[in-house]
Amino acid sequence: MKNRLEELRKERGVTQEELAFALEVSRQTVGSLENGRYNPSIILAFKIAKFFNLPIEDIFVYEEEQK
Amino acid sequence: MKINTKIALLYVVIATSFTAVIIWGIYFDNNTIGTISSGIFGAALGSLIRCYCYKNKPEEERKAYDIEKNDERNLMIKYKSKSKAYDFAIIAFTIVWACFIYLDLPKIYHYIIPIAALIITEIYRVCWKVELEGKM
Repeated sequence: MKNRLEELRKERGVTQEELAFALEVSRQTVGSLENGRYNPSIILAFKIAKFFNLPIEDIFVYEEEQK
Repeated sequence: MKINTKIALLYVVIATSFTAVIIWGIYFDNNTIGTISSGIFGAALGSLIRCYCYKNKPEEERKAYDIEKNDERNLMIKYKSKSKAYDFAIIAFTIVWACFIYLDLPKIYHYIIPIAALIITEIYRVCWKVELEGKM
């Protein structure tokens, strides 16, 4: 799953620490999400969408695995 | 999380004292129940000190600690590494069990072998934790 988290965060001038504090997660989690190493839970995805005031599908892009 | 040095020192002193009590009990007193109780008491005291440290932290630091503790990625890493360690523990303790059945071991090994298995399991869990933290 791809996401536009880093792009949106930089667009709004928010630091990783600030975003982490708002989402009540660690800064490492934000870093992992941005790198695509970690996929968030549905609750965290909703929190992120609420923070950026965007629908989830505008932030997270589901890509089906190629067989 | 910053640790209060005095409290940490107190914790180390208590932990060392109780370890000494346990070793003394096993070697000289031969009172297993007493030594195990001392160990449990030491662990409970440690938890009390930890609670005391947490209570005396400033609000902001406490919130940062809570976030770190309840962070979903951290929890996932914790549970995954624990499940790996559990799989390992089944094998390790089966070997321990087999040792006790088939080998006529001296009494001291009845303490050393399970503790060694426990320590190895814990090291295995930490290794998985480090590995998962790199991957996730």
